[in-house]
Amino acid sequence: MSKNLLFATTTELIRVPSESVVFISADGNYSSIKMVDGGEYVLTLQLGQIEKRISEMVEDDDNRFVRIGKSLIVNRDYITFINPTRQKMILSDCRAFRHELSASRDALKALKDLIEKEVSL
Amino acid sequence: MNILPNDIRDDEIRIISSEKKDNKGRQPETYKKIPVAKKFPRFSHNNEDFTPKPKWKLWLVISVILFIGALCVFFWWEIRRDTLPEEKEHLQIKISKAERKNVIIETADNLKIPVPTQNLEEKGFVEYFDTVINKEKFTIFKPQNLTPELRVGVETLRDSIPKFVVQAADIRKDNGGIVGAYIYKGNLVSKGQAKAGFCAIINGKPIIGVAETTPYLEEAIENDGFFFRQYPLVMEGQPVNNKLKSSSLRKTLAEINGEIVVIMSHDRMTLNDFSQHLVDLGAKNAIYLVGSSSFGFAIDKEGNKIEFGKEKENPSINTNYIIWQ
Repeated sequence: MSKNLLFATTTELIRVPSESVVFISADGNYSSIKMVDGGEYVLTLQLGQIEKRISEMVEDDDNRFVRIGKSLIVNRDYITFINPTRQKMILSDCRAFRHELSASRDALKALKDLIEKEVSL
Repeated sequence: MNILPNDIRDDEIRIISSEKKDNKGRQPETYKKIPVAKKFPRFSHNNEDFTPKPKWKLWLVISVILFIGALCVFFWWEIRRDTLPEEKEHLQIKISKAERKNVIIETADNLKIPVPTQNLEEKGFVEYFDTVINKEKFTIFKPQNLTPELRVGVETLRDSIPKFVVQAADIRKDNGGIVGAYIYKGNLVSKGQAKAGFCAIINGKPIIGVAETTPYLEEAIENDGFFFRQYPLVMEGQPVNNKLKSSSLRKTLAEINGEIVVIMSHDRMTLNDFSQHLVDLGAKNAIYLVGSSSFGFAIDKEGNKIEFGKEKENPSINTNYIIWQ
């Protein structure tokens, strides 16, 4: 079982299993963590700070989180659809949840190539 | 505030993994910015090094933009050249006096009588004079006892036989071809009907007219004649409206009182103004001849050579002339 992710500020603490995080999006000085159960946590942390926390907490071989541009971190285990031309990406477990996100074409193209390459290795 | 060693752009991604991988004090691979802001990133075996693929699409777009830009500049330059007021340009006429070469005939009683080598009046010459109409100055050239035909090539200017040489049909700027239908000694050497004005020379007789189709074209072919097209200026005593609005020195082949003459303006003017002046001069029909500083010459009654215009340094091989000889 993978480690829990722990995010703490002066006022709050969030502790979630890494596999339960679907994506984390930025909104200025706030970040929002979307969970597999549909829940959402809003943190007073910038996305860069969250990225740093994740890198400090994940296992050595855990590469599931990918930073996409300035405003998104996704759990690549839930990536089910990428269309760089339409700048569209769907994160889903194919059962309970489905989130449609948007990112830049180049970033999505790179992500698509990354996943393709991993599959072929 | 940037808290990471590397910031990230919107067109980049990076894998977030443990910082503990790096034990040599280097920047953790986790934060290594992956240069994926390219259209075709390439991955190494560890999925972390990206080598951008050739940006051929970007170069294609840049090439297309540059090509379109070059076209715009070209057209802008062409339009500017055609519309901007040019330097003051006037008809340049240079007169070279003829050298009189007489033959001395010795008679039986040893009297020496000089006689002219040629009787130019019999052999033909070009009468010319200046006239003013509507405050504009023109020179009118009237070939006398001369027969017209067409010639192609600048060597025509070195030929000593023609008494009058004027540029006839226009030359295309793109491929150097002759504009419009052109018949030389019964052979159709250029096709097309860019301009409605025409001059046919059949059995030595010049005919000027304005028509999109004319039987004179076939007649010129059948009779080993000549034919070329130019802008129409006057048709049956009425000026013909032309789209060209720029001003330039103008030349025309006109029919006045049943005679074919060449008229040159001394100053720049539009084609429409030129047409109106020609009507006022009494022209029944008139077509344009290559204007501006196009070069030609005429030999007058005294054998003087009157040169007008300016010879081009690199003329087209299809530069063509209407000559009288």
